[in-house]
Amino acid sequence: MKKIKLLLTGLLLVLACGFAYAQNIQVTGTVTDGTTGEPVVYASVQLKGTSVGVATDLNGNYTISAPADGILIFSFIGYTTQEVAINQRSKLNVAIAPDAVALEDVLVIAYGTVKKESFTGSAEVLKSEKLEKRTVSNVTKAIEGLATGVLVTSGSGQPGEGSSIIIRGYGSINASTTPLYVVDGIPYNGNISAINPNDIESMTILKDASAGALYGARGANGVIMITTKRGAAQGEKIKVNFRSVVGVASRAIPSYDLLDERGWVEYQFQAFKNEEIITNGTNPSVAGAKAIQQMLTGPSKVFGLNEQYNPYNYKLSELIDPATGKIRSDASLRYSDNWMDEVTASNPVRQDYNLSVTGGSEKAKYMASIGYLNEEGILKTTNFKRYSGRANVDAQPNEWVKFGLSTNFAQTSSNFLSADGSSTSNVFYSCMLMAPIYPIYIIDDNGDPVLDATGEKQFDYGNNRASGAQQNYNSVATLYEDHFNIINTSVSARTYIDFLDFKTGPIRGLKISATMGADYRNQDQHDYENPYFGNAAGSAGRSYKYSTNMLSYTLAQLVTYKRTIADKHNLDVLVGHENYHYKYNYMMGAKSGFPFGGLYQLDAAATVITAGSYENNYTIESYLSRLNYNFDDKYYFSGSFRRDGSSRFARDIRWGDFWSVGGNWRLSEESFMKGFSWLNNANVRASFGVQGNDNVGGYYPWQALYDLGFPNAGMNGAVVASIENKDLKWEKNENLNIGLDARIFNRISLSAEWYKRETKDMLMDYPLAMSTGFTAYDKNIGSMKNTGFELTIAGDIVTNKDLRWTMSIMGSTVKNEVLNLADKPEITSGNYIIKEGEVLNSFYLPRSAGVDPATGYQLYWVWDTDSDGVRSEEYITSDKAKAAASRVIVGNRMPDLYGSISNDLKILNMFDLSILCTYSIGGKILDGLYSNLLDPIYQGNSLSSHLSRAWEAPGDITDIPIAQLGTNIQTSDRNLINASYFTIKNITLGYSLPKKWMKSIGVENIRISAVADNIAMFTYLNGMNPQYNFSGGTDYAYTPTRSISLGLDITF
Amino acid sequence: MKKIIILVTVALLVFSSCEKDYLERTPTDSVSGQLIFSNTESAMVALNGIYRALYLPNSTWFGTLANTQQNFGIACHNMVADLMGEDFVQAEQGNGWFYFDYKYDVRSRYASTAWRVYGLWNFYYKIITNANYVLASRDVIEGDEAQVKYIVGQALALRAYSYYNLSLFFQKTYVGNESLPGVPLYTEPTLIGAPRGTLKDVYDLITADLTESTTLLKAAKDAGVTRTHKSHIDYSVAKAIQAKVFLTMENWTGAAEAAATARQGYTLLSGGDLYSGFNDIALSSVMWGGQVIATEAVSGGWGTLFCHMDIGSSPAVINANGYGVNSRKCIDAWLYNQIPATDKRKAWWNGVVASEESSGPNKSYAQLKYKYKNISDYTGDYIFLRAEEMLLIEAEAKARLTQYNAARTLLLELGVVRDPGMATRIASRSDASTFNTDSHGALNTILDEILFQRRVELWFEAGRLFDIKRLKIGFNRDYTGTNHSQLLKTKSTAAGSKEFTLPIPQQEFDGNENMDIETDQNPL
Repeated sequence: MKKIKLLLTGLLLVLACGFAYAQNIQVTGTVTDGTTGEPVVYASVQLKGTSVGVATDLNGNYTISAPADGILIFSFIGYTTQEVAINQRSKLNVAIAPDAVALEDVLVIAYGTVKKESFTGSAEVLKSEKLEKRTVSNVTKAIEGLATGVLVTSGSGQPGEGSSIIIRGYGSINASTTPLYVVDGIPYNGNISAINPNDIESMTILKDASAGALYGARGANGVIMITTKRGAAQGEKIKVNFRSVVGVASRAIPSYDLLDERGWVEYQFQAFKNEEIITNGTNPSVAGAKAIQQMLTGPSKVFGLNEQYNPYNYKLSELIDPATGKIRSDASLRYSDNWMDEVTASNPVRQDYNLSVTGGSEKAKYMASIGYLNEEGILKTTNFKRYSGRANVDAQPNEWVKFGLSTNFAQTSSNFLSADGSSTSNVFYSCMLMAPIYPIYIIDDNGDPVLDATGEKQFDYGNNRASGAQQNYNSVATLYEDHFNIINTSVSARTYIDFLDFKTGPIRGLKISATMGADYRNQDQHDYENPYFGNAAGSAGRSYKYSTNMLSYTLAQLVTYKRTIADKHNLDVLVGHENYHYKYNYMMGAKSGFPFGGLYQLDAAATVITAGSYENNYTIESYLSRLNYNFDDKYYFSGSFRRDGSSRFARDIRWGDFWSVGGNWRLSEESFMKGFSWLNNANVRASFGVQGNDNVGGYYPWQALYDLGFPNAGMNGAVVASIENKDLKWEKNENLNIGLDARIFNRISLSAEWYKRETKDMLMDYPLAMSTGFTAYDKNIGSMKNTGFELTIAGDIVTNKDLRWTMSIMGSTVKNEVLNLADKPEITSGNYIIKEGEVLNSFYLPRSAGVDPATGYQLYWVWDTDSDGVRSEEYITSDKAKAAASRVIVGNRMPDLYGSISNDLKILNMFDLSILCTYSIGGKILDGLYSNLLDPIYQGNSLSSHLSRAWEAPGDITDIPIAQLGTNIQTSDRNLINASYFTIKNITLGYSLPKKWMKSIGVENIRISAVADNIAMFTYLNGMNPQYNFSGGTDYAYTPTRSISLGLDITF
Repeated sequence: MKKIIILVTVALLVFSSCEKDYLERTPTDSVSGQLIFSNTESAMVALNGIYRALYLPNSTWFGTLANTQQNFGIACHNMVADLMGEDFVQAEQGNGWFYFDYKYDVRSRYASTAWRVYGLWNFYYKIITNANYVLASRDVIEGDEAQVKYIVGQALALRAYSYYNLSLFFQKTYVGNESLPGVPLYTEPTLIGAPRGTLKDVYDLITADLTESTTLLKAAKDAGVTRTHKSHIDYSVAKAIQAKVFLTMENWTGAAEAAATARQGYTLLSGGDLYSGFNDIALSSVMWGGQVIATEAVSGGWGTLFCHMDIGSSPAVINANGYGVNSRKCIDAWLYNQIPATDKRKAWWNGVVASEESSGPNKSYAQLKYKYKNISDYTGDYIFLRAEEMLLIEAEAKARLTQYNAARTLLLELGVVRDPGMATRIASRSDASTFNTDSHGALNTILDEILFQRRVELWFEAGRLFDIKRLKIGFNRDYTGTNHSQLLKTKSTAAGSKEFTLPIPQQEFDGNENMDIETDQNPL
C-alpha cells in the first residue's frame, strides 16, 4: 500500500504538479531556535512528499495548506531538519535545534557521499565557516590547524601563493608527496589560486586507504576534496549574499636581529685585526692600525673608494681606536639606510568582494557568484588580482534523469619578484644581507642625497661596495624598473548526468552516471629586464614571453546499485570506468635590444635570444569498484578496488591494482550499551588498503632518452639524459588506520586515530656511482614507514542563551622511519642524510665542541680513520676539514607533536569571536640564513647581533667564536635551532545586527567583522620561519604576511 | 521507455572507448638512443652534444647543482688550475666565484653538490659516459667507413682527454706515482661503479685510446674526411691531446713527435690578433675551441668565461656588470716583471696603474688578454688548444732530450711573433735539461726559459697547477711586492702538497659499491 502511494505521489509529481489534495487544512505556527528560543526567519516548511512549501516570515511564523494527516518538514541551514506529523492540528509550533554536527552528517568521499557514522575510513571535513575566517587568497593557506595529520608550510608571502601540504608524513623520498586535489568529484589540474575560497562549501581531507584508494594511482599522498557551494534546497527563498573584506598587510615574521652601524663596523675591525694577527702574523701592537689600512684599501674594500661608505662623520683612522677597537663616543652617523625597509610597502591593501546568488525550484537549483580580489604585497610592486565567476546548476526534469554543471572562470594576474635564492635581484637576499653602512642613494659628504637635474634622488650602483654588497647593482632600483608578470586564465567545468535513479519500481536503486570534468589553464608570463642597469644593461634590455596552456579532462562512466534488503541489509555497489588525459604545451621566446625604456613587447626589441616549445602528454585509464554494506546501521563494511594504467610506465608493467577494506562498528547502537545514557555515540573503525603514486618524476621516467637541447654552434646536438628502466612501476602505500569516535554528555566529541603508513616499492633516485655518468636513476627499491597518533577533542564549554563557547583541541604526532634503501644503507645530500632506521632527511653534521676559551676558535668533535677503515677515539679539534669528515646524525625537522587550539564564542546572539592558535613542539631547523649572518661569505654582508658576544680575549666563555674574515666555521650542530613554535593564526570578531532591525529594511542578515590573520608567531629565534619547508631548511624567500581586515557580510 | 533506452545508449556511448595506444606517450624534446646512432649523420648529433657541453656555462647537468656560475667547461677547469698556482691573481673576491679555488678552500666541501670537486668529477665523467655511448654503437652506425672512423676517433679522443684531466686534478702526477690509486675506469656504458685501480691503469687506457683515435682519425683524414667545425676533434687535435699526455708521462720523444705533427697547418698568432681578446676560434693558431653564436649565448653573460675574465675592456662591458669588472683577474706581479719590455705579450696585462679604481680596468697587473667578442649579445668563443702550446711542448721535449738546438730554434720561431729580443735572451741560457725548482728563481737553463715562456704564453689556458705537479715543485705567493689577495700562509704550497690533489666527491662513494670513503678517499 505504502509503495503504491509513493508511486502515485511520484506520478502526481510528474503529471500534475500543483494539484492540491482535497482534504487540506490550514496549518499555522512559529518556528523557533531550540536553544535560544528566538524565531527562525526564512526557515523552510515543506509538506513531505510534495513540492509544496513555504518559508517563515521575519517573526518566524508560517501558514501552509496541508492534509490533516500530512507530515511537515522543517529545515534551515545550520539546524537539524525535523519532521512533524500534523495529526489534525491547525497550530504547530516547532523548535528546531541548531546543530553544528549536522553538517558533518554527510561526508563527501571518492565518487559519492556517505553518512559520517557509517564511514570506515579517515577523513576530516573543513567547513566553509572555518575557511572563510582566514584572510587568504589561496585556500591552501587556510588549512593549517583545521585538521589533524596535516603538515602545512607557511607559504610565500607573494599574494596569491599557496602553502605546501603533506598528509600523514612524507610518503616518498623522490616521488611527489603532494596530495591529490579533487574539485567537485573530479581530479583538478588547475591552479588552486583560481578557486575563490568564498565559493567553497567544504573541504574534505581523505587520509587513509579506505577513503582514498578509489583514487588509485594518484591517491597515495592523501586527497583534498573541494566541494563548491550548490543551489538552495527546494522551497528556500532566493538569497543574495554580498561579502567584502578590506584590510592591510604587514610582515608576519620580523627581521633577524642585526648589528647596527656601530656594532657592524666594530666587529669588522676586530675581524680584520684578528686576520692580521692570525693569518699574516702581524704584531698585535700594530695589527689595529694595519687592520684599518686593510679595511680602506684591501681587496675587500669595505668602505668603498675614499671612505665614501663610511657612515660616520670622522675618517676611519680617527673613528676607531686601534687598541680597543671601539668607535669614538662623539661620532655620529651621516646617514642611515635600511634596504629592507625601503622595499617593504607600508600598509599594502587587500580588497576582496564577492556577490553570490543561490536559489532553486522543484526541478532546478542554481548558485552563481562573482568575485574580485586585489591584494597588494608587502614587497613593493608585487600584487595579485583575481576576477572569478562561478555557476553551479543542478536540474532534474523528470524522475529518471538528473544532470548538473558547475563551471568556474578565473583570471588571475600577479606581479611578482622572479628572482629567488641568493641571486642579487632577489631583494629578500640582497636587501637583508646589505651591510648597514651602504646607502641606497648617492650621498654627499654631509650624508645628504645628491639630486639629479630633475631634483630626484639617484640610486647608488655601488661600484665600490665590498663583495657581497651588490657591486655595480642596486636591487631596489631594479625592483622598480624590471617587471615580472603572470596572467593565468582558468576555466574549469564539471558535469554529470544520472539516469534511471528511480526511487521505486523493480530497478530502483540502480543509477547510471556519466561525468566529465575539464580544466583548462592558459598562462602568459612576461619577464622584462630594463635596458639601463642591472642584468640586461649590456644588451639594452631583455624581454621574455612564456605561453603555456594545459588541458586535462576526466571522463567517467559509473553504475551504482543501492538497495535495502529485508530492512536490515543495506547494500551500495559501484562499478565504473574512467580515463584521464593531461596535455601541456609550452612555448617561449625572448629578445633583447630595446631602443629605449618604456617598451616591453618583443616586437620592439632587435635581437632574438631564444625561442622554444614542447608538449607533454600523460594519460591514465582506470576501472574501479566499491562495495558498501551495513547491517542494521550497526556494522559497516566497505571495500574498494581500482585498476589503473598509466602512460608513465612501460607497456608490460603499467597496470597497477589498488584496494581497500574497512569496517566500522557503532558500539553505541548495541543493546548492551543502552544503559550508558551519557554516551551519545561511539564507534570504532579500522581500515587497510593500498594506494599508488605514479608521480615519479617527469612524464616519461622509464625511457632512455637523448636530450636535444645541446646545439653546438648551430649544429644539432644531444646528450644522454636518462637511463631506461622498463621495470619502473608504481610506488605503493599500505595504509592501516584505526579510529575511535565518541560523543559524550551531548557536549564533548572525541576522535582518536592511529595509523601506520608504509611506502613500498618506493621510487628512488637509486644512487649510482657518479662516475657512471649518472648520479641516480629511477628505481622502485626503498621502503619507508610513517606512524602517528591523531586526537581531536571538541566540546561545548558553555551553552546558554547569552554565551555559547566551543573549544577544539587537535594534536598529531608523526614518526618517520626509512626502512630500506638501495644496496648502500645511506645516502647523504649536503647537510642531510637518508639512512635506514633513521628519520628521512636527518641532519648529518659535525658536532660542535664549543668555542675554545683559550683561542676563540670553533671546536669540533672528530675522529681519524686509519687505512683499514678503523676509527680512532673521538677528540676535539678546530680543524675544519677533519670536522667535515666527522659527521653524525643530529636530529631532524619532524615535530614531536603539533596541532591547534581553537575557540569559538557566540555572545548575546550578536557577537561572535573565534581564536585559532597552532603549535608545534620538537624538531630542528638548519637555518642557513642565520648561519650566513653569523659567518658570512662576503665582507659586505650584514651581521647577526649575536656576534656582539664574540670571543675577544683568552678566558672568555662564549658560544660565538673569534671574529675572522670569510667563512671560517664548518656548519655543525651549533647551527641547528629548535623548531618549536606557537602561533596565533587568526582572531575574528563579528557582530550581527539584531534581526528586528533587519526586518524593517528587508534584509536577512548583516554581519560586520574584524579579522586579524597570522597575528603572532613565537619561535626560538627572531626572524626564523620555522614553517619554511618540511625538511628544516630556510631560504631567502618572500616573507609571510600578517593582515588586519574589516569584513561586511549582507544577505538579502 | 523508448526515450530512456535512447538516453542510456547515449550514456554508454559516452563510455570513452580508449584506443590501443592511449597509454603510449613519448616526449617531444628528446629522442631515443637507437634513433641517434642509426647513421653517421645522426651520430654526429651525439658528438655535437658532447662538444657543446665542453663550453656550456651554468649547466647543472655537466656541472654543479648550485653555484652554477663558476662552471663553463674545459676553459673553467684550466682557470681553476691556474688559480691554484702562483701566476694568476684574483684580486677581489667579488661575488665569490672562483675565489674559493684561489684561496684553497674547496677541499673541505667535497660533500657538497655545489662546489668544485663535484663539478669537475661530474663534468668529465658525463663526457666519458656520452663518449662510451657513441663507442658502444660503433658497430651499428650505418654509413661511409671513413665517416664511421671519424666519429669513433673523436669519441676515443674525448674519453682519453677526460681521463687525463681527471687524473690531473684527483691524483698526484703520473711519473713516480704510477701505483697510487687512479680514478674509476669505464669503457662501456654501465650502471655498476668501478674501483679506483691505479694511476697506471688510467694512463694505459688514455694512451691506448689516443693511439687508436689518432690511427682512425688519420685514416679518415687520408680518406678525405675533413672537419666542418673547429669544435670537432680531428687528427691534429687528437695528436695535440696526445702531446699533452706524453709531456705529463715524460715520454719526451712521443711528446715532441705528437706536438710537431699536431700543429702542422696552423700559424702562430701575430700582430693585431694578439690583442683581439682571445675570443674567436677563427684565429690562426686555434686548433680546437667552442664557438658561441648569438642565439646560443647566455643572456647577461652570467657564468661565462668572458663574464669572469673581462675586467671592463669597454664602457659597455662595465655597464654590463660582468663579474670580472668587480673581481679582476690579474697576473702575478713577479711574473709580469720578468717579461721583457720588448715582449709584445707584456701588453696582455696592465702594468702598474698610478691611480687604481676599485672596479673596472684601472687596476695594476689586471689582464687584458681576454675580452668579450661582442658585449651586446654576450658572445665570445672558447679556445681549448692553440698551436703555441704545441710549440712549447715540442721545445720542452727537445730540451729534455738534450736536443738543445732544436729547442732554441723553436723558441726563436715563437720569438719572431712575440719578442724581437728572444735571440739575445736565449743566448744567455745554458744548454741543460735541468730547471730551477724555485718558481721565483733565476732563469738559467734553456729549459728554464721554455718553462717561463709557457707561464707567459699560456697564462690562464693550460693550468699552472698541472705544471707545478708535473715538475714536482711548490710555489710561494707571499713575497715582497706580491699582488696576491690570498697569500696561503696557513696552507702548504710546498712540492707534493696534499692541497694540490682534490678529494673525490661524496656522491661517488654514495653510489659506488666498489669504493669506500674511509679507504678510497684522497688524503684530506
